[in-house]
Amino acid sequence: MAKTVLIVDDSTSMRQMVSFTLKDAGYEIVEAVNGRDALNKVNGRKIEMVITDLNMPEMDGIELIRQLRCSAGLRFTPIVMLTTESQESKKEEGKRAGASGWIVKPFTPEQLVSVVKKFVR
Amino acid sequence: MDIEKLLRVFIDEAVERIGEIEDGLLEIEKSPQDMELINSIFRAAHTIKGSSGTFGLSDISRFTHCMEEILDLMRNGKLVPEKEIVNTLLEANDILKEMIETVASGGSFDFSRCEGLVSRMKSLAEKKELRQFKIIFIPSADLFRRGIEPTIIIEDLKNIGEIVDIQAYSDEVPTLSEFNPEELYLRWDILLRTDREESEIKEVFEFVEDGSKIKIFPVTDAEKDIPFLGQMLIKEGVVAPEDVDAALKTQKRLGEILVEEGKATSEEIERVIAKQRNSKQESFKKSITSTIRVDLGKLDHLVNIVGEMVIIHSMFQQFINSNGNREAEKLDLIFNQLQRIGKDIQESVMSLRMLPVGEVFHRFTRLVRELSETRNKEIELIITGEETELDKGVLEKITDPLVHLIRNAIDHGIEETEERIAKGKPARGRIHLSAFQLGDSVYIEVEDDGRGLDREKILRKALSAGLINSGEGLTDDQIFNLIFQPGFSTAEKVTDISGRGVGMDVVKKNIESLNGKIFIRTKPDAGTTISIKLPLTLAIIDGLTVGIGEEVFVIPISSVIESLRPERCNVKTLNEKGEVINVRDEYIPLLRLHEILDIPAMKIKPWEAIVVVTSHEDKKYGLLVDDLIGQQQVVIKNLGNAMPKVRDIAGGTILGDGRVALVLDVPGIIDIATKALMN
Amino acid sequence: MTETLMVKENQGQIEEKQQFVTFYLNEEAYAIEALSVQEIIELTNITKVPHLPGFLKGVINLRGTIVPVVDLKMKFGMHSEGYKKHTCVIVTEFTGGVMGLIVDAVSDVLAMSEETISEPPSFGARIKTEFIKGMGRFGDDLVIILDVDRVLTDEEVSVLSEAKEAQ
Repeated sequence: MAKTVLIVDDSTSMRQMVSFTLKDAGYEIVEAVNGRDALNKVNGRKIEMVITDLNMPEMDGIELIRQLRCSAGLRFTPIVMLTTESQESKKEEGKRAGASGWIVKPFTPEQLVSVVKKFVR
Repeated sequence: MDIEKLLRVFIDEAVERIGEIEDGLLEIEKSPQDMELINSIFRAAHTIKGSSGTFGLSDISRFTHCMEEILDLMRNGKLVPEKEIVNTLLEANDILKEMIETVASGGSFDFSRCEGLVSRMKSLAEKKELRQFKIIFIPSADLFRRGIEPTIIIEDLKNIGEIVDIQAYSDEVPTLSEFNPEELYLRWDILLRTDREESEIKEVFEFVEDGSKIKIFPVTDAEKDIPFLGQMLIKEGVVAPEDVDAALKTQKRLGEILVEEGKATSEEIERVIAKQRNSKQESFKKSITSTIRVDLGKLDHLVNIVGEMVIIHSMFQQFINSNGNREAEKLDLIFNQLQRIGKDIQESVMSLRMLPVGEVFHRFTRLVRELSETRNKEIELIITGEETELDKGVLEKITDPLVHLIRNAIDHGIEETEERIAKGKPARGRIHLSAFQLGDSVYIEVEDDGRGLDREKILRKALSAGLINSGEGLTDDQIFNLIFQPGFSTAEKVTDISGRGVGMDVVKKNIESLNGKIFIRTKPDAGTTISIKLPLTLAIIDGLTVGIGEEVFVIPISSVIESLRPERCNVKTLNEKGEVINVRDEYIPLLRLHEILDIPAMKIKPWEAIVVVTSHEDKKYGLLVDDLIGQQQVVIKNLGNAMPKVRDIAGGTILGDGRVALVLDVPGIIDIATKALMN
Repeated sequence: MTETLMVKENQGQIEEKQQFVTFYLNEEAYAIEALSVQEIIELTNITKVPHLPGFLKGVINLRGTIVPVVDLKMKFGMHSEGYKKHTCVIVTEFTGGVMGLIVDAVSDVLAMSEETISEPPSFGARIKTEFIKGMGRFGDDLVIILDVDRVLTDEEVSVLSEAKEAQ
């Protein structure tokens, strides 16, 4: 059975690129445009992995990670942050909030898949 | 900024680093797993690469880069420091030294010379092989909560190599009541065989690094598949390599297996483990000895100032003593304190000039290694007491004599392998280079376990060289000491090792010029020990001040046995020996210092004057002086570069009254006098 | 120490001048480049060093450093009759090291321009011409400018080898 990956990013192009790449690699994809949207979308659904941007309107990635780590179903789910090199402090904050890993933008489709594979088998 | 000055600093540093690289490479053969050592060699090469690049010496930078690459492979465990590799690196280091020397002298180095070497280094760097890494993985307890499944890591490791051994430790798992199912309590030891870089293994752990303890280190050695403990056990002779191999195949903890199978007792294993731990600590200690580089000129200036202070002290003392001051006693007390502090300062300043002999000793590892190869003799050099300190000046002057002694030991002392086996000796010869301090002297000894000095052969040589007329009545010691005579050489053929034109007489002269002495201990088939006794420092000596005419001279106490005023009846003139004095039924040649030095004396009748009895080459000589003035520590200074060297004067010192007194070179004086007597 | 002076002449032109220390040997004026003079000190106790030629008088203590001294008059084969009140030591630095020169008196420090210095005479001088760098003129007086390096290295070298042979 295909694993489901939640992609959270306010940038449509980024969301589509990630989504396309992972679908191609055989994953099911759920998309959300910010933290609040993501929390609504995961509700009750089985999610194997979360990939989230950090800077987003309404609820940013850090807060999303915190909230996910408090919800019973996603306590142990891998969460990967999309960061930029200049966001070192954000990255640290995300790690403290409970992120499992990170991908530094920009990245190639291959890099994305290899990181996802580190967390979901 | 002054480029010249910066370049000077660069050269100084590079020379120092090159020395470190050499020492390190020589050491690495003995302890190929000493990662800190490999790292320090790497760092040294890296520093030269970086700084030469900075100075626009791009050829040197490129060359060092090749060395660095090999060292990098070594420190990542990708290359085993085998003899071939170490030799290549040593060769490269020599070339590097030449390059730096060329820079120092302002010349230009012909880089086409090292093309072959560079391509050899490159091919070494390209040689990749499967290696084993030991990985200790103690994951952060909150890994689950961070959404990370540790088993995935292990899966990933399988993707880049073969997991030879994996052990999960559950000893941290608490009792059920304390057990938190969200916490991770396990840790792993993994042995991975892979052709990947250490950095690639590290990548696998990228996301778990935080809060986890991850140690990755290569397991490398000529005996590739034997982990650390196994190697040590073999080296210590506790078990045979086959036993370790067999034990390894069963994939349990090595120590336990060997104990279980009765190949070693647990005490033996414990002992080796403790040793393993110690050697790690020691290599760590070595790497953190803190030093500061000081310009020698500045240091010598400080030594001079302090020397002056000592002189002013003695002037002060003379002043107090001669002025009969009412407050003299009180003054004396205060003065004594001042003097004590002054002495302390002097001692600590002098100690700044002191260097551990290890710096020089370790150069000999290379020498022995190379010579034993060319001579086809298996020889091991053991070094002890490398922390013993000697004055920099003494240390510099002792190097050549030591080279000679070690060459001699290799060439004449240690037998050919077959001969050793026939004698029932270990095939591998041993040279023990040691240093230790005893009182005010430092002893340096070169001991070999070779054939020992051949008494008869020396006697024959000495007779044919005309050094002696007959061996009658000569003690063994006297015979052995003949090798120090000029014109003596027992080498039957001139070899590239010992036949370099300097003999033991030169060695002896050099040692004596340092106010040192040289002794021989030897036993047939047991070996020879040459022992050198040196003063702690060159600059300050205990001296006997004597007066001759209007002049004051200092005789180093180290060569004085006693001083006395002979009875008139004990002064005789023998035809062939000249003047002698009878001291407790021993006839001692009397040398009139004023005649040798060609200056007027006040007392020419020995029974009115003083005879200072000194010894040289185990013989006693009486030096006739007018008066004894006193005994004091003096700072020896040279008489200035512009002053021609006079054989009977070792230097000068400044007396309490500010005058210069000459320090006599006793061996020199006796040499001159005995030669004059022979003519 | 500034030994090369840029002196502004009256005419406004700039001319290079060198400084010299002048001294007397038996009433004759000599000079050496100020560049090579470390300092000038009173004559103190000299300690004789055996086996050396007479002009190498021995060594002195210069604030803790031992410095050899040469009697220039003896070196030049002039009459030398003991040291007097004004006798002093010019401590010079030359290629071989530091050496003290015993002279009768130091008179002055002079700045002389290149053109007032003429070639050494080919004959007629009291001392070997190779020791002379040139003849300087100040006012009506002539001064012999010595080449310190030559003076001090010349025979010392041979003394050195003699001393070795003697042993």
